[in-house]
Amino acid sequence: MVEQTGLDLTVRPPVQGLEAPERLARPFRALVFDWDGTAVVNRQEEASVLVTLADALLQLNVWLVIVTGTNYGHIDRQFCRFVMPERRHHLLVCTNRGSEVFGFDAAGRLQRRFARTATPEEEMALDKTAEMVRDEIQRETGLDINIVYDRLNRRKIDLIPLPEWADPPKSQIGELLEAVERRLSEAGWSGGLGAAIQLTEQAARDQGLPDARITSDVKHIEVGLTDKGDSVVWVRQHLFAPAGIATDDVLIVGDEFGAIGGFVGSDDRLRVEGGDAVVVSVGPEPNGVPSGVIHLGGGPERFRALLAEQVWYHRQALPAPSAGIPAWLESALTPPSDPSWRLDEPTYHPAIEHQVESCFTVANGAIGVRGSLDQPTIASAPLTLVAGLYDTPASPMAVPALVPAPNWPQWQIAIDGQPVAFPSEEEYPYHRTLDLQRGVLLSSWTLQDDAERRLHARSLRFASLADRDLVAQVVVLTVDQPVVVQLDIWLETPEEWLTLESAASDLFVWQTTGTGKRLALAWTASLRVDGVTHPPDRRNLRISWSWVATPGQVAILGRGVALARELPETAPDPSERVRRAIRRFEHGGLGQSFVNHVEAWAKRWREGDVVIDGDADAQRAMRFALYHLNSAANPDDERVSVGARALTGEAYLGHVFWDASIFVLPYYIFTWPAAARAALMYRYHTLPAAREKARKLGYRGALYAWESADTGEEATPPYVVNPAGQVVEILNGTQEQHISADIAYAVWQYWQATGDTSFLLRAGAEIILETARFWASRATLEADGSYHIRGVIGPDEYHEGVDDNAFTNVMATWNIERGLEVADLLADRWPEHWDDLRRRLGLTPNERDQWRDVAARLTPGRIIDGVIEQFAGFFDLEFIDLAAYEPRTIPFDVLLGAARVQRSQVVKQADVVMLLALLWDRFPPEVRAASFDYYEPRTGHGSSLSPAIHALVAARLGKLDLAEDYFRQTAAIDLDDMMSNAAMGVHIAAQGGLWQAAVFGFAGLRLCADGIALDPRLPDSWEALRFPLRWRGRALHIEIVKASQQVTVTLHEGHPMVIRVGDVVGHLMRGKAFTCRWGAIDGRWKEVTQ
Amino acid sequence: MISPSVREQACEPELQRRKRVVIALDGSPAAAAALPVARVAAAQLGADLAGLHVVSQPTTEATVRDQLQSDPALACDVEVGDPAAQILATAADPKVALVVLTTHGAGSQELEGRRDMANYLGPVAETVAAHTVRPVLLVRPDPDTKPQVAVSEFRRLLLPLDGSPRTLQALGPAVDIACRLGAAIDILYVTGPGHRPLAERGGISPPRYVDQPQHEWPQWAREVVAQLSGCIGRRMTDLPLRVFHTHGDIVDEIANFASEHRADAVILVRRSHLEPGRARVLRSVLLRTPCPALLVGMPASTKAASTPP
Repeated sequence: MVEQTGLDLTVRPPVQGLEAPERLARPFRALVFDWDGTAVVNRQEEASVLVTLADALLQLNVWLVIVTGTNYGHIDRQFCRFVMPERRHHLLVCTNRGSEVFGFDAAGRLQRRFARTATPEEEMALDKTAEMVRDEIQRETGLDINIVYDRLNRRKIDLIPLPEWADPPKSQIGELLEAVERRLSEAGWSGGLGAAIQLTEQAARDQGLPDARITSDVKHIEVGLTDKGDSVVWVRQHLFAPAGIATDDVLIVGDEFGAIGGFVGSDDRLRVEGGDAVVVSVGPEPNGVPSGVIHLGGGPERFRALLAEQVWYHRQALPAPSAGIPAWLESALTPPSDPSWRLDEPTYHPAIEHQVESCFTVANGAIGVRGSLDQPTIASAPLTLVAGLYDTPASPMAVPALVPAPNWPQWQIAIDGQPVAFPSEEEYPYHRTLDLQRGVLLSSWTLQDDAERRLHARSLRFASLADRDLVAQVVVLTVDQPVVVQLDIWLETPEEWLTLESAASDLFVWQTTGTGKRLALAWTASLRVDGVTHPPDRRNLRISWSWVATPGQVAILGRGVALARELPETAPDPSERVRRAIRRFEHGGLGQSFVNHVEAWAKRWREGDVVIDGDADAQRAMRFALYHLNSAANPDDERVSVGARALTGEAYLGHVFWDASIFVLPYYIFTWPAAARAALMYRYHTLPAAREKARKLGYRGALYAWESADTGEEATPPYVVNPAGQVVEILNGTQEQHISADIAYAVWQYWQATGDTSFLLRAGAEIILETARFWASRATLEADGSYHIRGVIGPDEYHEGVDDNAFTNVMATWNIERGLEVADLLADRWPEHWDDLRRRLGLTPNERDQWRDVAARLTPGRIIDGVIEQFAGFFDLEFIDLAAYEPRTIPFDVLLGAARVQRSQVVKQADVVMLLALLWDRFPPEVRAASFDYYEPRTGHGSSLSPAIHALVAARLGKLDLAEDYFRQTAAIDLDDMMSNAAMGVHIAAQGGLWQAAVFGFAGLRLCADGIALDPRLPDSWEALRFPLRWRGRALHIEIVKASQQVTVTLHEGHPMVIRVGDVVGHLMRGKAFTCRWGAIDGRWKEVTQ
Repeated sequence: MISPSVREQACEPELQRRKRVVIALDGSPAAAAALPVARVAAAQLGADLAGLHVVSQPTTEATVRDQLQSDPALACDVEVGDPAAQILATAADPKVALVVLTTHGAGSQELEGRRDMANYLGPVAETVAAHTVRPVLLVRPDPDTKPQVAVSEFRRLLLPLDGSPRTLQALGPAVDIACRLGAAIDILYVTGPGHRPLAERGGISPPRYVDQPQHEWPQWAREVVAQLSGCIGRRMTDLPLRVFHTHGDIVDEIANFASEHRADAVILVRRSHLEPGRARVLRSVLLRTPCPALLVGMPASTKAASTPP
């Protein structure tokens, strides 16, 4: 018995409501299209949607041919560089109005395929032609007519060089035509634009250029040796014909086919040898279009719709590589070929399974699913986590912990009634690939029963980045002999943590056992065998199917699961939320859900990828880091932040540390401000608990929890049994107070980088003021006339209860200074807000005077011979030569004992070096260098946070070999797991540190009041470093190329801004590249912008 | 102690079918001194205790009884031939759960007074220990033929780990026995001076990055247990386990830990045939620890062998 229902496994046509002519309703093998006015409105437009569509078409092996009058650089900055390198092979860019054709090799590297080179005589003839036309018109009219000379193989005669018509958009071509004609006629030029064009043709012939190409975009008349048609001809002859692409396989799209001023439109040249090609105009075409051209109109938006339709037609037309598998699914199950975009584990090995699970986690900031086997073994630690769902077990001294949600991705198979699994204690071929680019876990393996009947399985799993309440899975099953198969899926409740409160057929609600918080889950699943849906047998938390499987038959299990926790103030019952999420999933279909997810990832990569040329390992490590950073944040949830192991493992109980503010947040601030804002709002919502902690300890203001969960109350475990079996008191919760300044630092960094006034007024200012207030109450004035902060732990946690830790004191001073600055800023610019906030906080002028006094007299500690003393008395401690203990596998407090380490100069992690990294400009260069040189050999790197910061500071100091070494150490923490603790979850702070090492370290990025500054230094093995950046609403792209010793910064979006490269100060204009080159002789950067 | 029901669930079913503990007796006071330990083990395992006496040529029962001077209630098989070969042949029986040997029996009396690294075992014990596929409980008598400690019950077993996957995979039988004994296991991970990262993939190492000890060490301990569970293919979450880490000389640390934590036996894993110059740590621990040693594991090349080559 079968029914035709279940999950829709197809991708819907992406464009709804548009009636495409029948001639367009098919897939074309090549698309040839104009750029300005057709693909983009202008060259400043952000083209991410276009890139996504192009990526999809290129992946489907469709040729994309851009034909433009401009040069390659403009197209690259707006488009090409954002296309995935491995997909560029079928992308061609015909530039300079037919004079050049650029393509890409298999690795995505640019190649010039064709170039027309003018002879000196031709160059001279072009000049003279343009000058003759100009002189003749000027002689007749006295009008100002300009010539643009610096174009390859052509000259442009500007008929209307007026400011108001400096860069007219294509959409105003009618108005432009009117203005030009009026200008010419009013000045006495009879015949208008047409006559000017005829004059140009005659002049070209007179100069010995009988085949000159004369075109016009109305503003200009162009005379050249080539036009767009020449490059189209070349492409057809040299690329399309060998590939067997006929003319009717080609779709040509432009916006100017119709006659302008009695002369054919500039895009009509695309129709050269047009034959059966389908030609479409999306332009306004004020004078209509020539016969054979389909006029759609709608501009670039309609063009993108055309591309989307082509994606759909191609996916529909693709022959299914395996019978019964939809084309989208086959494509979805295929990992990227570029190794920098994937992580592979070909074998199940029980001893490393937990590490694999951590690294292969799929997550979306709301839900995390470890990369466990679909059929878990005894060695598996499958885990699904829902961000923000904490519970505190009912036992003494218990602290809140992130609650494991019911496990859902597992399934079990039985052949002829006998369960089949693989041996759990042995290695077994089970290939897992984490597709970093699309955020998908892909698996493939074969099961065999005792009768040697084989069942092959392929599966994919993702946590939707497009709909964060959803996780989904597809399993494709085939057999090699006819068998009766039973497939079981089920939900596994972690009963230690959750109690089932209610169960409907597809909707379940649990309560946490300790504090009764609700978690809701809705799910849907279907099984299709050769396209026919099979009815399920549902029993509470389990769904089963049975069918007779035969060789060649394909069974596809599709499963969607929605999970949501209760939100006490807004949604105490999360049932409706998950119900709606599952409805969305069912309505759109699994395939569409997958496409949406992949597109969301593509957007994240466009906005946050870092490209490292020349070092494949570094590139892969960077992509791994960015994958997990992008998986960890949720811009839509202000009640959560990123825990120490994000959503990849149960270690650290999901607690949020200073890592989130100092190590993880900068990546979001500079590439994903919405995610940064949400994480900072979490700190705002936990401000009451921070105030309470300060109050309990006898201070004012806000002292944030060292370990924070949902409420922000201190969640640090008070004791631990150490590995020697001794009970040790944990002091971090009371003594590691620098976290308040760290959070203030993050708030300020966000404000400086984004200019997000609404955040500052709603939350940021209050955090800075309350943390400043804490420090002012924490410092004590002593007999020496200075304020001191005694009895703290700095970032170096080997030394507890120290006095005047430099990091703490300087950050506290900085925090108070920012508090005063924020107060002045608000009073000056938003006085009403300030009055309200001041009253609410009870902040008096006297108190601010006291802050000023503390900031002025809080000791920063000693600086001797340029070295900042880490804390009072540090210089007097025992020196231990750490290098003598290398190589080692254990931290120094274990190696030497905690007591001796406390008496020594062994530093656990960057402390003074951390201070340098955060407040670089606060210290003179000699102090930075001397302090780093002093502390680096004394640092044991007992924390995963340490190597990245050393890489950052070493890079800024020009110690590039050392910086590269620390960069590699950081990269290895999870990817290589040499130290055996990646099994407990990915070290998300180290991943954030890796980005900082590249961007703040090797690129030398720093924030200035009016822009950004760069001071790039690439390590030996890196050939180039490229990354996007956001600054105060602007979108930038930065490229550092070692071979040319050049830095190029391009502003893609937003208002002009200041850019500094070394000592060079420049102004970035939208759409313009700013380039500096390093002068090896004088050792300085120089601007070489063209 | 764990409850019998938990024990039944957690223990390897195969072990439940092995119902014999065999103690090799040769008539020497040293061998007989291992008998009380064997009785305790058999009782806790729920197994029958059987003696095995090997003679060089056929003899009468009266002569054997005279030679052994053992408990008449003890069932004792008598075999003729080479002692080591006969013990190995007997141990090959799947019903044998455990072989109990004294480290120095009648054949090694000449070694008295010079028990050093080279002579940590007598010739019979050495051969059996090197080649049997069964777990071997080695009891070292002191000079007046008493076992080194009086074991009234196996309550706590010490399991030193070097973290290598091969060691982990060899621990299945040891965990089975601990489970059947109802004994707790103290896992001790020792890093010696100059400890290097393990070359083998999938080993256990202590964490180099201990960001927050209040989280890292408990989680590491859980991870050690989980990894061990995965390698031997059975859950250990219901067993009374503790995980420790120390740094120092490996033999010193194991010996000291065994003393301080009153281990009733130390579990040692064979990774070679105990050829001269190999198994230095194993030999040293045998010499130094105050409690019997439970020898498990077998080099892969001889996994199927039950008799000496």
